[in-house]
Formats: sequence, C-alpha cells, structure tokens
Amino acid sequence: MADLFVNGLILGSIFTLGAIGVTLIADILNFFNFAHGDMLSFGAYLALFFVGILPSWGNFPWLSFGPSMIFGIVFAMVVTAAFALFFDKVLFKPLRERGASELFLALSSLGVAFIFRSIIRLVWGPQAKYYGGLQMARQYPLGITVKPDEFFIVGITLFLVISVYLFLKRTKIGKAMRAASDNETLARVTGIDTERVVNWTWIIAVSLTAAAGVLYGIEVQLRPIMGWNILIPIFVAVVVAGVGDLWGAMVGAMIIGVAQEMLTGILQNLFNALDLDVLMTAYKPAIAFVLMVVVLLVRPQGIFGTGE
Amino acid sequence: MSLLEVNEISAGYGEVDVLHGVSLDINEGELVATIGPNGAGKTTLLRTISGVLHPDGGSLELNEVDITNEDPEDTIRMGMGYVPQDDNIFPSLTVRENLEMGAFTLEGDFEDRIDEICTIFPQLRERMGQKAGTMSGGQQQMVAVGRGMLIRPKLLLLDEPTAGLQPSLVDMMLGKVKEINDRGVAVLLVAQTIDALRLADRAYLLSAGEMVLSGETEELLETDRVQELYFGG
Repeated sequence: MADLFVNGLILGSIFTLGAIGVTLIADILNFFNFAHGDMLSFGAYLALFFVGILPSWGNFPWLSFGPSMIFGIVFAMVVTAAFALFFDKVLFKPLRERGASELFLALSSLGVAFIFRSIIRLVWGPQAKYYGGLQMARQYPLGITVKPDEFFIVGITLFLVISVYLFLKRTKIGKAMRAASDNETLARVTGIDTERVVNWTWIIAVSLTAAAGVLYGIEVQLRPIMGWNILIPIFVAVVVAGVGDLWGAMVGAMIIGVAQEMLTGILQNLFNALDLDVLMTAYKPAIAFVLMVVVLLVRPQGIFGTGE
Repeated sequence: MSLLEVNEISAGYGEVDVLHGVSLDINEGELVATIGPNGAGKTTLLRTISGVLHPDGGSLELNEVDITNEDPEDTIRMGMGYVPQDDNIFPSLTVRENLEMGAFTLEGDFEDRIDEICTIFPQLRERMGQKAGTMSGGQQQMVAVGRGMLIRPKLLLLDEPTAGLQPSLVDMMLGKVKEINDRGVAVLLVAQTIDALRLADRAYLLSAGEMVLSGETEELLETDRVQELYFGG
C-alpha cells in the first residue's frame, strides 16, 4: 500500500507540471488546452533529440542519465514554448481577436494536438523509445520501492513549481498575470499589456508541460501518444482543484496520481482474490473520470474553487 | 486651451448605439461632473474617453493630441487615469500589488508614488499586505482610486466613486475627490448624488445618449431637469 502511495506521488508530480499549465491557460486564455498532452510528448521527444546530439558526459551517480539530460530538459522547454507562441500568433490570437468562444478555442487546440502528434510520428516514428538504460528500484521500509531517477523527478517538479510560484508572486509580469486572471477587463483598463500576459502564460504553461514530458519519459518510455493518454487525469486534476489555483493544481494532481495508483492496486487485488480475469491498469483513466464525476456532483466549483 | 476635448462622439456595443454625438471639454485642474438618469450613457462615455471602447464617430483630444483610437495603455501613458464603477480592484492581489498594477506602464521605481497615495488614503498604509478582496467596500474604493492616481494623472475619470457606500463613507470619498482635485488633477466625475454634483465647477447633463444641458453647477442646480433628476420633480 505504501508503495502504491509513493508511486502515486511520483505520477502526481508529472501531472502537477501539466495541470499548472492547463489551469493557467484555462484561467487567463479561457479555454482548456487539448494540445497540452501532445505538447508534453513533443517536449519528451525534443529532449531525446538533444541528448542524442550532445557528447556523453557519463551518468550522474545513481541516476540513469547524465548532465546532458539537464540541457535536454531546458532545450525541450524552450523549443516547445516557442512552438506554442507560434501557434498562438497564427491561430489563437486571430481567433481571440474575432471573439471566438471557449468551445471554439478548445476545438482549435485539439487541432494543434494532432499537428504535434503528426510531427512526432513523422520525425521519430510510432515505436517506443528510451532515453537510456533500465534502472533497478531500491527497497525502502514499508515495502516501498523507488528508483533513484524518481527522486530526480520529484526534485525537478518541486524546483519548477516553486520557481513558477516566485515568478507569479515577485515579478511585474507575474503579478500582471494574476491580475488578468482576476479581472481581464480591469487589467486592460489599468494599462496592463494583455498580449504580453498571454505570451508569458504560454511560455510558462508549455515549458512546464515539456519538462513534464521529459520526466514522464524518464519514468516510463517515449510514445507518440504518451501525453494524450495522461491529458485526462491532468484535466481532472484541474477540475478537482478548481481552475486558477497553482497549489490547488498541485494538490489535485497528487490526489489523482495517488488515487489512480492505489485504487488500481486495491481493485486488482480484489479481482485476483475473486479469481476474476481483469487487468486493472487498463482502467486507470476511468478512475480519474469517476473521481471527477464525484467531485463535480459534491462540489462543482472544485475543492479549492471559490465558485466564481 | 482645454485638457480634454470630446467632439461629437458616437459609441456603443455592437449594434446598440449608446452615445449620439456627445461633446464636452475639460480644462486643466477643473472638476467637471456628468449627471443623468440610469442608462443615459455616463459609463459608456467614460469607457470611450479612456479607450476601453472606441467611438464609431467623432473625435477625442487630450492635450491637443488625437486619442480617438488609442487603447487604455496609451491614454494612461498620456496621463489619463480611469476608475470604473464596478469590479474595480483585483481581489486576489494585495493592496500593494493592486497599486503596483496601476504603475504597469511606468518604468523604474515608484515607491514615492505609493507613499503619496498613502498620504491621501492613510488607511491603506497599514493594509498593504492585505488581499483587496477581503476589504470593506469603502476600502476597496480607496484602493481603486489610489491605483488610478499612481500614474500622477493630469485627468482622472471617476465613475460614481461613492456608489454602494454607506453615508459616512460617501462624505469621506467626496472629500478625497476634492482633495485630489486640489492637488491640480482635473477630474471628470460621474455624479450620482447632489452632494457629488455640488463639488463640481461645471456639469453636463446626459440623457438617452445626448448632452442636453451644460453649464456652471450653480446654474444647473436651478433648472427643472436637474431638480427633477435629483428630487424627483
């Protein structure tokens, strides 16, 4: 049980980085970005490309990769964010200026999702890829098994979440982003450069999801639909927490990660005990969905939402 | 030479026209009121002057510079502050952050300006770290007006700054408007009460999107239309 819980937190870390981006875009640009999952995959593949062209500097002690992976993460974040800015200029900005509805923006982002996925299939092919070798998990008390790489995943997540928090809290543009999320009309009246706010929203949201993609690639493997497959739990994390809250997105993501891992494990044991031939891992996304339905029925504004 | 010149502007939302050829002017340091019944277009007029809304016809000049199609960002840079009536604070930001947002178009340090706001609204000084959304209506109004003052405007547009305030706070807020005007800031005030109107040097009466009367406040107070507006005829 403790092991499933820890696994859930690791998965939750990856969801967190995705969920913060989704919640920022939903809050400031007013739509759910369906391309977020495929941007996550794109980030993972970009890091694969970059790690491939960098010289091998050996591995970090304990970890399955070396310093080149750090550069790979940074490269993936920068390039994926640049792509997102490009799509904003050619697609989302003209739509905004025409007063497109939230639904229309969301559907357009679905189109962008397919573009990213096609690029991945075209360049890297449909087969699974790996950054490096497999890693053995280590045993800890209470039956917990953790791979050293997973400490890295959680560490990078915490570093990025705190960085984003400080950015939103301390910088002029970060405060303007919070102001625009509070009241977009007043932000304009006040002279806040809303286009700059939009650009920074994309940069932060998408670079985080690109980083999440690399971390997810380290944890499992790279597949063109890796991001699409975890888009549902990421959306659920945002809905569960209530749109617009950074820490809420993190807690929501952790809840979804832990719930998915633990419920799958528990139900699997139950089915095994009943001698039923059911493979629960296939139903992980369903668990996220059930959780969302329960939250929406009980507390539609989300756990931390204020119901605006 | 007038500071603001509004020439025959028409404006509205989509197909709906609200203002039909409205003109007015404000001189430097003047306190001018706009009065009129609900739905007369007072708020639309302020939104158009500030650049939130662009007019369909007519022109706007600030300091003899054409600002007809400028955005709020530009009119703010040119020294015009605008404090809307509703939703005029950022609730999840602190008082200090709200004021900082008023300085978004400024470069460099503005600490002295925040200090200046605190001399006008001393209550804000000890509440700098409080979230604006958790404050009382009167305090929120101080934050909103303070934010509009941060650019040291030449002209401040105030949309019913006393709306929804309890009577004791109404007098306080009107006193502050006068104090701001005494500092040399020209004010265009949407006046809801007779007390607010009495602050003004001159006033314009707007009705159904047209300017129907204008003149010195004392003269206007004698007219039937103004009597009717404030005392129900």
